[in-house]
This record gives sequence, structure tokens and C-alpha cells, in this order.
Amino acid sequence: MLGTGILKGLKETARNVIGSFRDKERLPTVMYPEEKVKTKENFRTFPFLVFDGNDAMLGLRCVSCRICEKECPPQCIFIIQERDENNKAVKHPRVFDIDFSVCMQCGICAEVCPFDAIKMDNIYELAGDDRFTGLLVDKHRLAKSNHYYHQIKPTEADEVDSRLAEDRRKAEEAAKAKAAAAAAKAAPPSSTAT
Amino acid sequence: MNLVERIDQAPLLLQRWAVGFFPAFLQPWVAMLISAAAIIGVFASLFALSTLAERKGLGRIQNRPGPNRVGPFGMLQPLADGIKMLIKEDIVPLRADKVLHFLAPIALIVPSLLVYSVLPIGRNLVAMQCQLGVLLFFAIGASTELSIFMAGWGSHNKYSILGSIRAIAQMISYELPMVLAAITVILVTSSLDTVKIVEAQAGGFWAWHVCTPWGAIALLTFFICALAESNRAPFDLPEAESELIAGHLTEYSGFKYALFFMAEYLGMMAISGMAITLFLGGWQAPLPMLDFIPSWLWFFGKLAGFVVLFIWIRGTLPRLRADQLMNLAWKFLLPIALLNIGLAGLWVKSSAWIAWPVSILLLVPAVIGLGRLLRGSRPRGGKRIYQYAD
Amino acid sequence: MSIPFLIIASVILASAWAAVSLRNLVHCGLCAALTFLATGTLYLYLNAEFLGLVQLMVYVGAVAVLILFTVLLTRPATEAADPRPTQRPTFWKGALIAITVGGAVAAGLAAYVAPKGSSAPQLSIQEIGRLLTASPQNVLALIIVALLMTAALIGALLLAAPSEEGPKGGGE
Repeated sequence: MLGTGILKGLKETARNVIGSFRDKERLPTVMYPEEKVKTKENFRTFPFLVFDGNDAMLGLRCVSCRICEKECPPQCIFIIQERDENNKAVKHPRVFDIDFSVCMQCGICAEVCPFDAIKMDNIYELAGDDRFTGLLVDKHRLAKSNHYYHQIKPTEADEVDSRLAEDRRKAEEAAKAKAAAAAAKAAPPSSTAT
Repeated sequence: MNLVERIDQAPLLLQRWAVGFFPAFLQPWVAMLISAAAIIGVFASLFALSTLAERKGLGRIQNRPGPNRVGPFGMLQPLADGIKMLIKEDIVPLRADKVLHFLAPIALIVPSLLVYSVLPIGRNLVAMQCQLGVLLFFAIGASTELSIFMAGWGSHNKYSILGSIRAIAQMISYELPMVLAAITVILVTSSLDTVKIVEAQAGGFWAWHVCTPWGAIALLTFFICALAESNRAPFDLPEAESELIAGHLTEYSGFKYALFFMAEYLGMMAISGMAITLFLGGWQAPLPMLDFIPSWLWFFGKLAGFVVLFIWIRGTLPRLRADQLMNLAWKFLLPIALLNIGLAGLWVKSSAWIAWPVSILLLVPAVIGLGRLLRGSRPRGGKRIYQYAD
Repeated sequence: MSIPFLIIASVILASAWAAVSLRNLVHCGLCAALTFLATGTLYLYLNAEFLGLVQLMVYVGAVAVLILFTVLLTRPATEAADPRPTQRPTFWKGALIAITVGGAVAAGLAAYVAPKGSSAPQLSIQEIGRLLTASPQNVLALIIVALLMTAALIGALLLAAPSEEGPKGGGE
């Protein structure tokens, strides 16, 4: 009949209004910044450098191999290797800058790093008022502890840690076997001498 | 005068007290000035409240909270909107007709505020008791179309002119069923005086004109025409953003736009006030025992109900196309309004026992038949055939 | 000759003069609307409330809108504001017509003798209604006017309706 459609529509909108006070489903708005949407674990934004232990610079996993700098598609990573007094290369970056305004958050740097030194963070509240240098972050701002990595990405961090522990164990065993072989080689050379 | 009566007549007593300070020859003028200032003050703040209610209400209908940042529950949002409108740059197009462009919002606000003078807000609380109150209301309301024309033409913009033509056509089409619906009330109460119309509905909600067969249909017709007269959804073709940009309001910014906006809401509340006066018993309480509640509180309560209904309908219904709009006015509402006048005459001349069944017998086929006729004006073509590219 | 009457009369005269002498046609139409408005105010000032309000409703609300719509629809919308007059101003013809009409009105006014000591009749709206519908000749006039307007409406609809074009060609 004429008009029933309108009444059905009015009933539906009334249900919306009353329901929006009662259940969350009818009012899915998140009151940012008082409430924030909890991001999933594999949500990624910008990269950060992982360090083990308590000292950021001493525990940095990065050895300045510069693979991430070469692989980065928009070339937003700038690395200068540390050199000691005799100008010999040290496995540490003197300068490690990422230009966040260029970074496209693809994650390729984290994929290719052989040392699990650079991983993707999930911070998004980076707005600032310094237009030119505010988004150019150096290694001190980039360095975050492994503990933090466990907090934001537990499964990934566990997997990385177990892999690194495994590698370390294998390296130790290989070193032990090599030392034993070297010792065995060094010990009885006379028994096989003819 | 005991306390209840004092509160009921409070605005009038305040006016008399303030007028008493002036010498005798100035007193009528001061009384008029106080009434005018009171009307502007009250209804402009009601306008601010209704914009807030609209935004929050529409938000809740659309599953979102509406503005809630500015004050507690967003209550200072109208203030923020007002400040924004005031400090916006007032842009007038280069080749626009400056006089027309400037006068249009003023020519719209003045009639919109003038019509409040005949609405009885409470017992003895009408700014101007005029023997021809209802006629004054409709006569002054008819002057608003001129300002829409001035707005459209003065902007020197093809889309503005087209938008104003459509807006004026809509307004004059819906004025006719509106006046015819009001005529049924005038026929039954045989008076054009708004105060007498309200007093004729005394006794309880069963005496209100809405509880008669012609009254219910007339109120429905009046309400639909009120939606169209104030360019409210679903009849907001003239001012919707996706239609001809903003129609006749395209070239207006800042305070002039705020004046148009205010005139729309003031018109909405004025027509609601007239509907309350004609059909819902004005300031009367629905039950005689509830008379201790002040009469102006009943009026504003009913007005709030109407505003909520306006907002609810806006959030629910999609916009009507221009031809659907005109078809509704001329092919549906006008015949129903004319039939209604006949039924009102029947009500006056015979008793309720005969009038109710005859009215229902005549109205139901008319409504259904005219509705079918309206459906027929849908663009033809049968069922749609979809052809997909493979 | 009270002050409100002087003000209203000067507004009527000024806007009527402007309505015929302005160059922009839309401005002329709006000055005509102002004239109607001022005339309605004059009726209200003379306590003829019904007449004043009907003047406002019909003239300002409908006739002025009609005039403006006509101007709007028969001219390109973005035409320049002042179209140059295409003929030479015909001053002498206009003066002749003005003198003739003005002389007739003046003669009629001079011959009118106001009845002494009477004021305007105070008619309430109920009495107006009764006068219109009670006596047979008034009712006849009312019905004839209604029929005339219906005929005009139907004529306007027929004129404005799109013409049906039958299928052309095919001979026979």
C-alpha cells in the first residue's frame, strides 16, 4: 500500500538510533585519539634497527653491509660505514639515515637483511611541524631494542630469535668441531708419518 | 495568580514589567519591540539547537556519533559554526548583480521572522492577535519565493538560475495543497484567527483537529507540503550538493549563506508552529489534568517533536527527482486536499457517526487509486534487460 | 496627510517610476514587486486587512513571480544587464497618452465629493464572506470567474503541452 515503505524505513532508522546507544555494532566509531584501533601483528609502517642488550649502539645487529641501501626501491637509506683509527672498516654503521618522507614502506630492506638487523615498525603517529629535517631519522632514533620487537611482533621476533640462536649454536658447534679437528691434526702427526 | 499561572504567563508578565518603565506614549512601541526581540531571540537559539540536534540525530541514524569534540556532547558546535560563518570571506562574483545578490538573503529572512508574530506560543502569548492570522501567515510566506529568484538571478550563473527556477516551481506547487489543507480547519472553526483556532480545540487530545478524518489527512498533507516549502529532504532538490552544485545558493558564502540556512530552519519551525496551531491544539495539553505544565512548554514540546520528525525523515528517505516531486504535488496531494475540503464540510453538517465511515469509504479508494496513478508516471520500459560483456 | 501615508505613497510612486524607467528588465520587475508590496501596505494602513493581505499573497506571491519568470524564460540567462533600446525614445507619444489618462483621472477625482463625516467601513472577514456568497448576483459572478480561470488554466496547459508527433511517412 502507499506509504508502507516509508514507515518501514522510518522504523529501520529508529532502530539504528536506539541501537547506537546500546550495542557497539551500530556505532563502530573509534574516538581517536582517546581510543585507538588495535593494529594486527603484521601491520607495518617504517623500518627500525634492532639492537640486542641494553646499549643501543653497542648492541646494534647492523654490520653496515649496505645491502638494504642497494635494494631499497626509492633509495631512501643512507649508510656510511664506521672506520677505526687506521681507516679499516668496522662492522658498525657510522651514519644510518632513512628519509621517512621517501620511504614507501615496502619492507624489502627487512626482507633482504642477512643479519635480521632492520625490521618493520608499526608506528603511524609521526606528524610533526619540521618539514625538512623532521622526517629524516638517524640511527639513534631508528634503534629500538629486541625487547620492543618482541612486544610489537611476538611471533616474528620469536622466530627470528630462535633462528639466530640456532645459527649461533651451529656456528659454535662448527667452531668446536674445527677446533677439535685442528687439535686432532696438530696432536698426533707423528702417528701417520712414515 | 498562583505560581502555576505565573509561570504559564511568565513571558507576558515580564513584558508588562519591562514596558512599565517607559512613558505612556512610548509603551505600545516598546511592547512591540520586546515581542519582536523575544521572537528573534527564542527562535534563533532554537535554530542553533536544531542544527545541533540535526547533526547528532543524523549521525546516530548513520551509525556515527555526530559532533562531540567542541563542548560536552558537542553542545558548543553551533557556536563554532556561527564563528566560522562569520569569519568566512564574503565572495561576490564579478559580474553578479550586486544589489540583488545582497538583498536576497535579507528579503528571505524578514518574511521568515515576520510569520512568527501570529503563532500563539502559549495562553495569551501571541505577538500580534490578528483577525486574519492564518491569511497573514500564508501571504507573507508567499513572499519568500521572490527572494529565491533574486538569489538565483543575482548570482549570474546558469546553474543558479536553473536551480532557482526549480526551487520556485517546487514552492508554488506545494503552496496550493498546503493552503487547501489549512482551509479545512478554517471551514470547521469559521475563523482565521489563530488564537480562536487554538481555543476551539480545548478539552483534551480527542478535541484536536488531528483526531478527525479530515484533520488527519489534512495534517499529513500539510506536513508533506511543509517539507517541500522549506526545501527539506526528501524535497531538497534545490539545495542538495549533487544537484546543480547548490542551486540558487551556489555563489553565496559566509554570513549570507548562514542567513539562507537560518531562513530555512526558521521556515521549518514556523510551518511546524502553524501545523501545531491548526491541527494539534496549539498550546493545549493532551489531557485536562496535565494543565499545570505551562502552555508554552507544551507548544515547544510539540515543536520539538516536529523538528525530530523532520530530522528523522531527512535521515531516512532518498531525494525525489524533479518530475516525481511535481507529480506528487499536482496529481496526488491536490486531489486529496480538494476531497478533504468536501469531507470537512460533511463533518460540519452531519454528526461524527456518519462522517467517519463515509470519510474512510471515500478516502481509502482515493488514496490507493491516486497512488496507483502516481506509480504509472514512472518511466516506462518494462523489466530491465542486462547484457553483460563476455 | 499623515506621515506614514506620505512615506508609503512616496515609496509607491518612486518604485512605479523606477519600474518603467530602469534599464535592466529584472530590476524593473523587482521594482514592480516593490510597488505591489507598498500598495498592500497602504491597504493595511487603511485598515482593509483582508484586501491588503490578499494583495500581498496574490500580487507579490504570484503575479510578481509570474512577471519575473516570463522575463527569465524569454531571455538568455547570461545576457548583458542593460539591453540598448532598439527604437528612438518616443517621447511625444508617451506624453500624449500620459496627459490623456492623467486628465481623465484628475477629472474624475475633481467630480468626486467625499461624503461628510464618515469613516471607512469596518468590515470583518465574516461579513466579507457573507457578502460574497449571500446575494445571488455575487455568487454568479464568483462562479463565472471560477469557470473563466479554469478555462484559462486548461488553455495554458494545452498550449504548453508537448505536441504529439505521429509517425510520418508511409503515404496513405
